Amino acid sequence: MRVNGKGRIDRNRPISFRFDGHAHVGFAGDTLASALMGGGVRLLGRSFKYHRPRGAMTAGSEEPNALVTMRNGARRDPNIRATVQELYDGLDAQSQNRWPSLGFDVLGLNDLAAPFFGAGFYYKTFMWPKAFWEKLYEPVIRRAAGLGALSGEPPVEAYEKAFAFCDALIIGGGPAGLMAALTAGRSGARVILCEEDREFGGRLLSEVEEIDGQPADDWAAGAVAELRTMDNVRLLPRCAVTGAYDQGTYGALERVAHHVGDPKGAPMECFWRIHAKRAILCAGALERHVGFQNNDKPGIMMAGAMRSYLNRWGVVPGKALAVFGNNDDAHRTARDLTKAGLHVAALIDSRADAPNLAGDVPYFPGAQVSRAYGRLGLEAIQILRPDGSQFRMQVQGLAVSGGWNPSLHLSCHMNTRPIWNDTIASFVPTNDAVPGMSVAGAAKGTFSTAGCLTDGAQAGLEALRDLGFSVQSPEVPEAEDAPYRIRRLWTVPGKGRAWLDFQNDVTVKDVKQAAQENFRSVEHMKRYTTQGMAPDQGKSSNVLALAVLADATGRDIPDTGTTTFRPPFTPVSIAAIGAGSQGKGYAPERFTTSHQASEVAGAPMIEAGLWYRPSYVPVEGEKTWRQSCDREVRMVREHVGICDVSTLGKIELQGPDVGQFLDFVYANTFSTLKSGRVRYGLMLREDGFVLDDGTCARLDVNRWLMTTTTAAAGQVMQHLDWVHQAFCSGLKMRFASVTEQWAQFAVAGPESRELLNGLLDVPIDDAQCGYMQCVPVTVGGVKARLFRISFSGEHAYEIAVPARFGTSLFEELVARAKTLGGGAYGMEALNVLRIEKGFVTHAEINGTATADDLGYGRMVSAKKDCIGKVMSRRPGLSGPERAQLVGLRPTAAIKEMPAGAHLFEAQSAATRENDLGYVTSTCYSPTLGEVRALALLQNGRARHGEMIKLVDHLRGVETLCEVTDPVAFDPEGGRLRG
Amino acid sequence: MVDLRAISPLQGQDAVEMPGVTICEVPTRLITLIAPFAGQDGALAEAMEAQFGFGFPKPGEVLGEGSLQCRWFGHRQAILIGATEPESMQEVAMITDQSDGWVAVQVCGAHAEQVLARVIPVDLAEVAFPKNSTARTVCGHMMISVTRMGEDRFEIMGFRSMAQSLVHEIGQAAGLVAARAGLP
Repeated sequence: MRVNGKGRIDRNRPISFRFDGHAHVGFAGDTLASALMGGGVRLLGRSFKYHRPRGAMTAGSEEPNALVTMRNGARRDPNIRATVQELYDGLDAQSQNRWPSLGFDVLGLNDLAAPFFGAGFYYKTFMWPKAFWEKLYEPVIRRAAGLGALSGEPPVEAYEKAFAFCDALIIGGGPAGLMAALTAGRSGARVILCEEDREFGGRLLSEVEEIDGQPADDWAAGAVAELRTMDNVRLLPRCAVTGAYDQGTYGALERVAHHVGDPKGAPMECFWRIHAKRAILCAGALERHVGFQNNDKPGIMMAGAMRSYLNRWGVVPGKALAVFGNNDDAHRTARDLTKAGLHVAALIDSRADAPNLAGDVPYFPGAQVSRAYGRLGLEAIQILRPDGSQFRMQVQGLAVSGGWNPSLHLSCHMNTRPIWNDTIASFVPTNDAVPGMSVAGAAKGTFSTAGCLTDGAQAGLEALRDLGFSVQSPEVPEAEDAPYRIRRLWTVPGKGRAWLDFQNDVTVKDVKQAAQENFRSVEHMKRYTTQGMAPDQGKSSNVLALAVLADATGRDIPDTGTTTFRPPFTPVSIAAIGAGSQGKGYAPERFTTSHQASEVAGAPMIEAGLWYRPSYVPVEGEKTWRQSCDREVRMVREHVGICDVSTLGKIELQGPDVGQFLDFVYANTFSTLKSGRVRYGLMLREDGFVLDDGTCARLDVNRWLMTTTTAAAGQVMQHLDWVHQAFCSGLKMRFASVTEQWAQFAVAGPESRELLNGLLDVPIDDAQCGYMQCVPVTVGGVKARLFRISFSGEHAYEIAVPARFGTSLFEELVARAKTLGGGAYGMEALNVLRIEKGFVTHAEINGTATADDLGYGRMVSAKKDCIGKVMSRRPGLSGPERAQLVGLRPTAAIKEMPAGAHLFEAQSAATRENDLGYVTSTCYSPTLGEVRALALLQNGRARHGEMIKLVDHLRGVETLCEVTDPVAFDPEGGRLRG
Repeated sequence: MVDLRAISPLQGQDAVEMPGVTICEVPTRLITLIAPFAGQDGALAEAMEAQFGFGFPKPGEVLGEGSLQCRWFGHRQAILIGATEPESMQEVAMITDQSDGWVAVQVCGAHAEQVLARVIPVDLAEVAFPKNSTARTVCGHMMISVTRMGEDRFEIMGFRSMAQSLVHEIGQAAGLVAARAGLP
């Protein structure tokens, strides 16, 4: 219900919204939870396991109960805390984990069967029959348990990620955080202040107290106003720092557009990666519960939360209210309630000697609340007097305080455990738990406002001095400085279930049972009971559960130890972490200069690394890729074909010592290569296996051009950098990638020279540009490079021009090829052409093949050393036991010898033990009129002419084939040189 | 004789205009990569000083002004922008043309810094990255070079083949930054 005259909400701005289909009205400034409480709704959800009715237990992001699903359809967003969700016009939220309705939930029956569902229930019960687990038990349990569900549709809303840098990151905008930010900001340092709430102020927005003689929230507003005037300070409201990572990096989730109905293209959330030289954790503290029977009834909440609902939003959960605590802070709730004119039925303090600080309220020192009553909401409580007598009292709301736990979560993210402080009966962070991060205020266990302000100022001062800023000691305003007196109270003895972890439905009994069954380590208890898991990560339950475990095992809390807190502090959607990496943001697209021309020609594209290359270039009448591919192969063999080969890596090397360097990185010798010549080279990895192959041209005495395969271009560049820096840094040479600088096209086929001579400014002949030669040429006055190299086995060239001319040259080449009966060809034809010739690609250079396996053993020069040479000589890396490159041809009229098929002796069973190798590449060769393949076959070179069995278990192919030399077409190479 | 047409990486594509930021292609210029041979760093710097009036840039540094600039471009590498290949320096350094290898886009406007903070993981604030600062880093998944050209003006150089992706990546970020302005 609403409380007149209280709250920071704007009562002139009513906001209508829906919850579970019912219309409600709240006010600007409300959260969904406060608006529902204002409308008399206490029941907000059902619990995870027992489907117990639950209401808001807190007023912040630590909320374990009040989780709702926002919006509909693809925009559905589950497990949103009603206590954090800001109200907006037209908001539509649904409760979760209930059927058919929140008020009547069939699976609420689980609660009646609770005696069977204790800790370890699943582990003990669903063990047999074994097959039932996957088929029956798990699906049924998964259906019954759980929270909200995603829509299953691709997200329609945008998410964003961003980077930020600062001298000081201040985590939390309460009194300590604001004071730290003011101190740091005034020094001129770059400051980022993150606050997960929409407003800065922290507890100051929820308390009735004064700072420097003015209301505390006014002081906070003044501090924020000053910070806004500073260009060096960035304020990030609605932004929770979720993790502390190495080297001063922090993750933070900003809720950008959760407070509006239509984000209009703005991101829902932004995931920040903040790099901070220093950080100050001012995250405050979270209140904890006390274990007593039925302490989970809607209407029971933390005492500090009830103050927040009253003072910040002007709402309370009912007319008659009670307060139960073990510390002075609980008295403030009773005081504020009664001052607001509300009926406080009882203030119950478990400490018999504690004075009443709440004024005129019925006070029960030394008493405890031992039980709560009510079905869908709290109706009454049972009070246990010090003399052991009990009585019942009708209340709709109960504020409970078992003490405050510092929000030290981030201090644990680098694997440092907090230490126990007996004075405040809680864990506190250690110094330097995270390098560069200090902790101030309530997060450190300093609970008075005055203490927080002083602490914040001091932390700001120290951090900035540490960075070399000259900082003035700020004047710390006067504020409330009451001591925090507490006496341990974890549970109230009695029958029935007392809840510890509301998110996972873990009770006092469950923890005791875990201890009884010898899961006595805190880590084991956690896993056995699931306490402290799921979205809230045990924020409100950890200390309580530990205390119960300590009690059950006869140890004290420090001896029991604690589990740690891992990132994230609050849940982070995967959409935010992966923002931008969907659709075209997933990977860049690399387009050649001929891309558009290929697309216009209707060529389907295949991805080669990040590059897009035409698969084939269909002409009218062709219905299948094979028709196009066969035509393109014949075109190259009989006339001339054009193919964009710009995607191959091109590395230019310069300097007098390049030859020496190349001798070291290539297995074969390069220093002897003459200017204007090209040589095929094989590169080994350090471990002796083949890294890559390609050609290398000596353009002039001191200028060389290496080519790599498309796939390994980056890898080879990296390899060269490593060799250069590690072994050859003294050589007079440098190299750089020029892949992008040059557009390069293969002109292949018997009519290639004829085509080129129509195009080049000065024609060429065999004398000027014979096989494996390179010459500078000009095309229309543009300087170009011409290489007489071939990957098709035909008389062929590659011509390179600066990339700006690529589009134009490609169009020209294709047009001229067409007049000669040729045209453009794609990757499919290129692959067929090279398989016919037995040329290898990374299908054969598969990372496990050695030079000897591929038949290139003799290329590893005996006259010099090279990277990988020693290791390639290891036993077992060459010889007949190795799989060696061979060709395969069918022995009957078969349609396929699929790549990936395995090879066996003709008479052997096709089993793993008999495996002799596999097919690496395959094609239909229109030139030879049959299927052809390359394979790696054990002792293959010695088996040419033998029969071998090919079996593809996946595609159901089994056939006999003949082992041949890898080169199936023109073995003498006459066509290359001709 | 054939007449080959020169086409820029973005093929004269229109500038992307968003509230607070404009993304447009920088016209093709002469770009030469310079990398000194071992032990020749000093000799190269002297030769450059003599020919251009500035030496070899330190990491993150841009030397020269206006149409003739030299930008640090990685470990012991720099690019010379606006001058023909200084062939005289071939004795001491690798000199190679890169005019066609890179797409350069200018990102300018009041939101430029905010937009780039979405895609580039280095500190581009003016205090940390004043005019004539340059860095080799990434933009999304692309390797790039970023240089501050003025108060709210940056130049991003990326692989020519990735020109479309580069503009798309920055454009997407600009769209989200612009849309934030409409939120209450």
